[in-house]
Amino acid sequence: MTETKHVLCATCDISCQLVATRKPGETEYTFAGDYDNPMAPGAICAKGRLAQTTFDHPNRLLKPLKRVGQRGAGQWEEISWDQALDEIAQKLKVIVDKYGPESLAVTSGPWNCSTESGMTRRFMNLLGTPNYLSPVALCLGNTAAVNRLTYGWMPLPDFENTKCVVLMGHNTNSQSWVWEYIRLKLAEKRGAKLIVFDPRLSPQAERADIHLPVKPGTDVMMCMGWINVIINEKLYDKKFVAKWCVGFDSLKERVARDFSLEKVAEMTGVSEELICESARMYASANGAIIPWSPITDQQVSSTSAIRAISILRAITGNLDKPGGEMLMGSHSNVIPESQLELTELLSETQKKKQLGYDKHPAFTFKAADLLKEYSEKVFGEAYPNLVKGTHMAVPSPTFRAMAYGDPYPVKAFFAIANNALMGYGNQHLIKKAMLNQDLNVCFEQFMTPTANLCDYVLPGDSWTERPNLMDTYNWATMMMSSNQLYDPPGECRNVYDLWHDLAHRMDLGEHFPWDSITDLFDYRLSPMGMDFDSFKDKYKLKLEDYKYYRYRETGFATPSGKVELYSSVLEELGCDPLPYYRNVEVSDEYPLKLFVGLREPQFFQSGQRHNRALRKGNKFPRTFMHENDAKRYGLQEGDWATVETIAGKVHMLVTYREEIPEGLIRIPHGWWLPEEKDLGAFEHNDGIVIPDSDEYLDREQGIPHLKGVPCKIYPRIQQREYINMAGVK
Amino acid sequence: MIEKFNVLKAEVMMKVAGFILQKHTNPALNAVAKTAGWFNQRRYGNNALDFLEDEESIDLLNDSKYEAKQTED
Repeated sequence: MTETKHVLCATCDISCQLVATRKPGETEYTFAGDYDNPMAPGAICAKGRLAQTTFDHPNRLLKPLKRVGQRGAGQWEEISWDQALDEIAQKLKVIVDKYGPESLAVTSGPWNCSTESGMTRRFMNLLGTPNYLSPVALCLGNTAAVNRLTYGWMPLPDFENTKCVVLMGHNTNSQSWVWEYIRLKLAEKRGAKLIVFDPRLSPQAERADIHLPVKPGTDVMMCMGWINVIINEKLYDKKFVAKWCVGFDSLKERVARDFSLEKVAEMTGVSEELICESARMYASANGAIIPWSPITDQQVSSTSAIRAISILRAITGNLDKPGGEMLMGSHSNVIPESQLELTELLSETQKKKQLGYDKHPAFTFKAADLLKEYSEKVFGEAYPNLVKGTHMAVPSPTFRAMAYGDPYPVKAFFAIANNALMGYGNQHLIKKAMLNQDLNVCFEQFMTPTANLCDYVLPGDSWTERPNLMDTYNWATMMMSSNQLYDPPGECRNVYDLWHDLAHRMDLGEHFPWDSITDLFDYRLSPMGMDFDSFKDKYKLKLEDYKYYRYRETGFATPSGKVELYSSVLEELGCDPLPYYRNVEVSDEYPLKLFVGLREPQFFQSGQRHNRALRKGNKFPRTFMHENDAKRYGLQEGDWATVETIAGKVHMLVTYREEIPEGLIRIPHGWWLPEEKDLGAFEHNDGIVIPDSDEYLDREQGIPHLKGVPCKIYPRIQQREYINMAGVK
Repeated sequence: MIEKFNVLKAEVMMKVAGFILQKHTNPALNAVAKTAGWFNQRRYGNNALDFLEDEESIDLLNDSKYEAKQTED
């Protein structure tokens, strides 16, 4: 009889529900999408289908490694877990004694270790360090934090009932963000309108009811143009604005002062007629959504863009409305990660040491503390760690502290399931930062460029090798379960084991009483009166009953209890309380704009490059550009080109794309070459060309500008020999 | 009135979705869940999921144009 189990794919951050089947006599499971899932039936991509070829691979790390040569030389000694953790604990104690607990910074990739259940921050809070980093600072986590400033929570779009979808350049497709792609396509089949912001003519843009080909980095301008139309044509929800919003008059003044339609049209490159038509379509839909987009996460005016989107959702009355944006809170019958993290044990003094706290406060403790009272009142959580991003340290100041000891030394760095060297802006700084550490530890599945700079590399399990209880990143009232399909190979272990065993060596063991990750899941589910096994047997996904318009009973989780169009929190933080426009412009030296972050279908972030089955469809890093631009700069399709910004240079193969406007080039995120001796880490990764000086950082969050960095492109001068696909197994 | 109806409909739909997502050991409940799932898909049309066979990513590759310039294994 065929064996069937449900699993959650953690190849990317979407968590598609898959069905794993194995016929009698077979050793391996086959993955398919779950067609019984009513929200996103059949969701799976090639990366998910081929996941086991990614994990069951000759490059997989199977034993703990200790560095024996210079950092980066790739010389390692295999050691036991006990020896590794004994030595790490001993060294960490010395560093903490000498420099204080804040001298430990940890970066963690949430999807790769989605079973950690808040244990990373629990360990850090008990130790006393506020310096938790995550790539969600540039992707969704920061959006969640900024949404909280306006109405207290990160909304979940109600695709199932919506009448209009606005995609802010987010290119969901059958290979990327599949779960959302399916929900979008089904909404369109029901007749929902589609509006797409995108400089290029993407497939969504092509089939959209309205395509707004905005210039890169002008999303906030377009949103404010919409607000202009909505206010002046009185398309806003007057009752909701009057009863539930504060700051409408200030917003109106700001729009009149800075965002005339003429100016919006000039800056965005979109006609006034199209701006008006699209604004009317959005505002008049009876239930409209603007799903999260990474595009607005990664701009110099990111905070303003996210705020403008939040304001649009609110003034059109779409908050908590069927077909609009649901402010769900987290599951009421499960112990949330925020409780497990023990944030309340971190002292006020230590919170204030969080790197970036004063200069870029929007997603640090400084902002979170101004919201905690209201969040606790409305959602029952003082520090809801939405998408693990609502009270983080800021990456650039943290790497500067690591590299230069300013404002204080950070001397120990843990990269947990996060290829940090490839994951943030200014890669040169991150390398310098890591080389200046007394202790670098990595928890990984493969020898990444980040792991290669570490002192200890600990082998981690994969999502097919562990059970999982997934809480939708504390974002929504959905709890998902996942079966373990295989035993972890070699000495690969779960991230919980790492924190548990390290805590016991650091005299913090009493706070990690659960012997295994399953014990921890049992504890989390105890309010439901179930253990993990019985939960898993009963629910693939437990959807809690949801009441729309909940705010009518509770108010919003903001200081005023209302939607803050004019943000009192931003004002108290010393930031502009209303959205404003800022961008980075081209120059004679850098005449093109570089759009970083293209999602290639074969890979997620910096992963999967070692997998031949996926890599053979995408062998080398490429840059995408219009043929006219290529010829203008002496390039032809297939040439190696050098892309240069003020931060550095990367080498990519030229690929023509007629849908990309002239003046814009794109490079994908996360490229390295696992088959090369130097891992190709310092030649092809987008982080090399992303500057993080002040003019390239969003002021409120301190995240770098990835959507329109001034650049130039020219034929590559220094050629090199590549091992090529012969080295990819 | 319309708002109340829309809210009721959306909340009931969410309950139904929750019911479909359960793993029912009772064969009758399982059949009900399967039927509800079938009706849910039908509201999107006859071939609700036909797009799953489409390839929508313009970033899928056709290397043939410049493959000759690369060293092949």
